[in-house]
Amino acid sequence: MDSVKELLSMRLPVASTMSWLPEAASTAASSVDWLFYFLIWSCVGLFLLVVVPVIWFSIRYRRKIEGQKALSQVDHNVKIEAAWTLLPCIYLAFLFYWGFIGFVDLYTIPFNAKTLRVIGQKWNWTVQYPDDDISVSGQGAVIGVPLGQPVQLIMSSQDVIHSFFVPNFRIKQDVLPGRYSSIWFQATKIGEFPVFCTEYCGDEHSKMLAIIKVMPQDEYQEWLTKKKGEDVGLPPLELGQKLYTQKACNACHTLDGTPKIGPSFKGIYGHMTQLEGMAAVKVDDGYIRESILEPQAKIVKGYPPVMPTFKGQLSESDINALIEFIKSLK
Amino acid sequence: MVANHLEEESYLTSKKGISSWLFTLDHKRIGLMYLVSVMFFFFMGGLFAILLRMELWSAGETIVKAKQYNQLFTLHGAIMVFLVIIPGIPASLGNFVLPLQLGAKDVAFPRINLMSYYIYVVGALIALSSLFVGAIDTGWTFYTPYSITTDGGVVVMVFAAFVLGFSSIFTGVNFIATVHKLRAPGMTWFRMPLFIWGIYATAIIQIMATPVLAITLVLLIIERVFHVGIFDPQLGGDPVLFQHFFWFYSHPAVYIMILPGMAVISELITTFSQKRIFGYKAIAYSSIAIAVISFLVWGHHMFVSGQSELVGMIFSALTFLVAIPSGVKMFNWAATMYQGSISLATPMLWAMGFFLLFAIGGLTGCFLGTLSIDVHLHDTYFVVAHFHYVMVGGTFMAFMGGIFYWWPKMTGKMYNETMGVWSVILVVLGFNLTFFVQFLMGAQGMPRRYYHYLDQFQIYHQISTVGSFLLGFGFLFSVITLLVSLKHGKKAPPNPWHAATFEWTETASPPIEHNFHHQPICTRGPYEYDQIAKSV
Repeated sequence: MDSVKELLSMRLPVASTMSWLPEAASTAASSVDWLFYFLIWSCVGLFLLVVVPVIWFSIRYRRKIEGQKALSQVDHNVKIEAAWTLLPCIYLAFLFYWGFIGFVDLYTIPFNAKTLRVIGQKWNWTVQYPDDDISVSGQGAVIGVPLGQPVQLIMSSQDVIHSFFVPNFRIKQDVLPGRYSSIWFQATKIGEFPVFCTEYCGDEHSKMLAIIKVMPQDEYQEWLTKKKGEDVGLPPLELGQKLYTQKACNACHTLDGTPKIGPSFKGIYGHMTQLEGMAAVKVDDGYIRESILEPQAKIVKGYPPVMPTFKGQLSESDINALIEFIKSLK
Repeated sequence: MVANHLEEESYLTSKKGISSWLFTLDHKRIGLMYLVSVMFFFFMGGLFAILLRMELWSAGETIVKAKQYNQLFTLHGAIMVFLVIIPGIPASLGNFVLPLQLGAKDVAFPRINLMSYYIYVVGALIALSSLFVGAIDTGWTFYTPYSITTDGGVVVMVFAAFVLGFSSIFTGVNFIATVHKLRAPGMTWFRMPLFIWGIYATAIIQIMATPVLAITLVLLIIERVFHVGIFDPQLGGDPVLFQHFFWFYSHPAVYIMILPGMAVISELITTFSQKRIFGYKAIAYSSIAIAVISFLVWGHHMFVSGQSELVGMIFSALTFLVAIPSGVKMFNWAATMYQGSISLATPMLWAMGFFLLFAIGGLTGCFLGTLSIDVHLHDTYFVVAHFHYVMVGGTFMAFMGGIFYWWPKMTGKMYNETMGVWSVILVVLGFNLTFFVQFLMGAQGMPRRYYHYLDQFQIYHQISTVGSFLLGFGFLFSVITLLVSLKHGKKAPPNPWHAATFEWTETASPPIEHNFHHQPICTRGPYEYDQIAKSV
């Protein structure tokens, strides 16, 4: 949880305090931003075009005495009406065209893009690096990416719809259960940029944050190597403790005995627990394993059946580590 | 002529007792009952909004927990959409004014009219009962699969929306039949006041789009209760299909909300400029154009949902197309004021407020219709600000304008003009303070429906919260202004605004139970201010 607190106090990099948009940090941003600023200034112009006459008329033609008649009853003028119908058409056609061009660019993935797999689940992101055999996850996960190289995200959801939004990159894409969606970016600035979930997904929707860390190539390679080494050789108990936050078990299961969305892990190992229906079951290695991989198989009495499966996200040694961790919580 | 009949009792006093209201078939009384109910739910929804804004005063927990916050914004949205803005103008002002403007004794089906009110009441009660089953936290959009998996009274709330849909359909059918069959002799289609055109266009959308919502909601209930796979991928369904179905209704519903507002504004601008409306036919046809095109733009809610780029392109183009008739109306209203005799009485000030806020709401819509820009802005506070500028700044300002305009007709009382002017000023200031900063934080990347937020957004949230208190006070002050007039207001003359439509020229304030002593005959257009005297 502390990581989230820290995350919330971080700043979204902004170009300057007077800027409308956050700092542009991707190739897409520059092509989106000029259109955004064009829209702002043209809309200010259009706003004045309709509002100034109205204000001026209401001063100039203000009724001075009771019962005063209008100066004229003019109620049509074909030329003016044609102008205010057709000119906006041209303006809007322009917006449509440039918006569409930018949109196509946002979704046309370069052939040399590096692929990352993104899994959304309540309430954290997991990013897998298929080429490098590592993954990062958890609320506030740091997603390392190289500077100046196109990166493609192939995304799917474990449960409900989420949406992957990086304001500094100007990209956003819904992440759906049961199908893949993708988006890409090429980072142009070194730094840390927040990722928000922008499709409402429940209680901790607003904590479903991650950080994209853009690094120069050599630093990025070092980061990869360090990541790979991190989990190797960690004793099972420590690995389990790490996975507990990394896989966001902590979003639903506490360690101090207080029930949250799921039962607490404290002191359950080796004891009987009451299930929905008549049955009870002993919390042992087999039960924990099943609960992680097939969460709906046995539901502890009094809790909603909402846990997603972690099948395919945890290795055998990860599962063993989690069991060891739960076992240690007397 | 009107003065001779003043001794006859008005519709307010002709029958007495509570049952004379509860079982009334009088469109005017039903309109008033709707007005009171809608305002009640408006203040309830508004209270939820204030609580939301208080929670957002600081990041993290301020007054409620995350779950309750999610329930609050769901209730705020559902109440404001289904119980306030959709029925708002058509069911209250439309019911009261439409038959009067047509020169009719009542709507075509008075019993169906009363039934639609009771269906509304039942729907509202069902919606509120969901609070006891367990307040829902899905957002008013009920997106699947979240709405299928979350606990709480989702089925109850969805069923309430289903029931309320019938109320909307009955009102729509009634108005269409009334406009077709009960126009006064001589009132051709192009002699109808533009308020009628707007309400008529709204009614078309109501009866064509609402059944789609009903079907969608039933499918959602079937899936939740019987686990038939329709939208939930775990059961083999398609979650995006729900979004298509939902917005197929809910985008046209946006026009169910705004068209009546535009209809009111057309009346206000002409009357308070004492000038024939500029481009009558353009405004009338643009209402119908909006009604038709509104069915073809739903996909602009889904540019980042995973629909194909081609579909995104088509919806973007159609979205810009629907902007044209709205723009045309704005220009026409502005031109109507040219060389007029303009009075800045309270209803006209509401119209000016509408003009200012709706212009911003409409123009920011251009940002969201532009594909590449929408990708960045979608589901941020920019969108929240945009639709509040349209729904509150547009529809609700028009609604208030309409209430202040027809208040003397409805109650026979004039309100205090100074208080009326202050109502408008407070609301416009409070509104801009609340929502303009939301454009700024949205563009900066602040997502909507967020309980926590990055510290850097706090200042914007705090300005917005202060604004919301001012806005709430402004609305409260408006209602006080009206209520005070009931006791202390001066008696209203039949036509205090020197308007030219039947409800002002042909009957007393308030009207008698059967509206008119003689069948009014229409011999001229609705905005011939120099011929008012000759009309009877």
